[in-house]
Amino acid sequence: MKDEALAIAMISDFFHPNVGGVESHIYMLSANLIRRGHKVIVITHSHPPDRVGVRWLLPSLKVYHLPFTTIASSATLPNYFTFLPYFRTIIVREHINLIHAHASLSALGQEGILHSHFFGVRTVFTDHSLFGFEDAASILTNKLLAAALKNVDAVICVSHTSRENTVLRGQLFEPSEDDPSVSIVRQSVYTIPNALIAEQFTPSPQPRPLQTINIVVLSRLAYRKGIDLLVATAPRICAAFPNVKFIIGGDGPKLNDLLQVRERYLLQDRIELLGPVRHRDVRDVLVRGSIFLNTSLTESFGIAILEAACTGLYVVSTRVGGVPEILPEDMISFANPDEDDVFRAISEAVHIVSQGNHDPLEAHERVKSFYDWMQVAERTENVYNTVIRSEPIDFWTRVQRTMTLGPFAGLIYTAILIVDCLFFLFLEWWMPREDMDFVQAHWKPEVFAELAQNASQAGTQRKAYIREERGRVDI
Amino acid sequence: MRQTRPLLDLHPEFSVIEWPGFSEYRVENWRLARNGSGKIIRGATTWSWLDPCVPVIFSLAWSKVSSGSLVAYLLIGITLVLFVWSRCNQVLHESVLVFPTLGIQLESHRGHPSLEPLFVSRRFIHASSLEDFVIHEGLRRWDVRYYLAAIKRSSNGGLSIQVAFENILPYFPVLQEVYIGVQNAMFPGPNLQDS
Repeated sequence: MKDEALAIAMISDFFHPNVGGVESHIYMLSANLIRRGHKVIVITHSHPPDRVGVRWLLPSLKVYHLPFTTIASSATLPNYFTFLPYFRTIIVREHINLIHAHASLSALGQEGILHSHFFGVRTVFTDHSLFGFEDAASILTNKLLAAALKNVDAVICVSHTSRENTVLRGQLFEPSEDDPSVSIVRQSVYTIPNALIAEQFTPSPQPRPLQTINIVVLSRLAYRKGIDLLVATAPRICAAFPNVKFIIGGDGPKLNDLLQVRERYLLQDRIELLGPVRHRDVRDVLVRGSIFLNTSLTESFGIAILEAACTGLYVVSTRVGGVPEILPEDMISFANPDEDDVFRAISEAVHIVSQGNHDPLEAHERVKSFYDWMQVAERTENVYNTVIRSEPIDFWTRVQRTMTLGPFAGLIYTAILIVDCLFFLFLEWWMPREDMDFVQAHWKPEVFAELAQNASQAGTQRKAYIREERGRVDI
Repeated sequence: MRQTRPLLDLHPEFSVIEWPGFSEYRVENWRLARNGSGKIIRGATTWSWLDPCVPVIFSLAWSKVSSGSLVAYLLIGITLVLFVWSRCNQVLHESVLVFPTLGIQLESHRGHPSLEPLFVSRRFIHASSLEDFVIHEGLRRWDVRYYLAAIKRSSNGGLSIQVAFENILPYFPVLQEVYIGVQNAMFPGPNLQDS
């Protein structure tokens, strides 16, 4: 490992084998950081019966699956102390310098930030989603988030809108030094967007026939994703444009609404429902269409929109969250999240596409240059270096900052912090550090690169052999 | 029969014994304290603090049960038998025996430390069903430990994992020595004379 190489632990409840935006973000970021020479491990919860224990993912990414039970969609309950023994063992034996927690709903990530100061380990937090402020779930989650982020070293958000949202929810502002009655936002909040692998989303070389225009919708069929808007506008669009068809992929609680609207307006040949689509089949579904429709009511980044634009589709989307930031104006039509405006935007898109004004191959070339995982990894590495060079917060400052959370929450969280210290002292006595099985051997990047090269050469040799065999049989 | 201790400074409990025809990698159930003090931590003890207490408790309980109820006598008897059995069932040493071209055998010798082993459990894995012999990490209670695993392919195609040194669980340097030894013996590399 070179001198500035760090040992990084990504901590999140949301990781593979679940498929999703946060999961693939963590994986791609880890893969690119490994390519830049750092050591990365991932800590997540287990998926019994078979995804348990310590696993390896390509390229040399070690994943710890810890035994915590999940309550809903892969999130665990915040039990502040039960994570400490595992966390301590893993951080000490892997010689970790920095932890990177992902997702505000991930209790494991927030607890990692809480326990980090015992080991001199620096912390970074990435927030991936937008949350409201009004409903009960949001109020609780925001309070937990504010408590966790009181003592974090840096926060990364995926868009400027998401950054504003996180700063407000997590109370990431401090009284200014000149005038304590004025609050200013912390210097350590950064915006680094997501990225996509453009090679996986290439448009088809043949141009689409202009007689039928397919509108593709690929999303989880839930209320948050604005399926009600889709249900309201689809019959109107089908009535207004006889050559337009819908291809809808995905599954969720709102599937019944779509089936009902299809029955009621007799649109069985105009609306095609694909059911759940695997991530590797997404591109094949996208190339069947010319327009991508996204009716989400809230969206912090919109990676699905980027993937569609990269595949050469013209995008129609609701103007929410971080969506206006990701694509230039001539590749996307915006609508307010109401039925009439969505109808207007889709009509506009249909006109643009039927006149042949949108070139898929040119769109792909443009989007290819916008986002790149290596750039994201480089920017994240800059954040890490800044964090490592900054001064760590000492314990008394930590307690004082925790007490500013509020009259009740401050006391509760300070009590949690102090009991955590006592539990840590107990663990230092019960499981002394010298008895730990330290990690002495890890994949060297050079060895891994050589093995990967040999495997790909063997693969191409084998393919050539099979082609040759087939050729012989045909003759 | 020749016995060597390759890791004498840090892991003197590990020895390699060369028998005619096979070799044995033996780990005895004690280790040096890992804080450098040189103290010996025994896994199998000849005398423990419970040994002198048991006759005292036993005689007190026996005299108290003067009513002659059978159940009480039986309970006391069973407790005594269980205690003696647990003291005689301690793990003395565990080994991996390597029979080149034939297979490997995982052994566990139990008994009382002052006597020869009373019970031996042996698991033989034939060379044809030995898929691989690896070092992997696993979660054990609140700890993460390295362990040696023999991956066995059964006759109907399924894989099963047998852990070597299952009760003693030595540390990584010992496992590395055994791993290298077994890999060299059971999975020899490409024959250099052919190229």
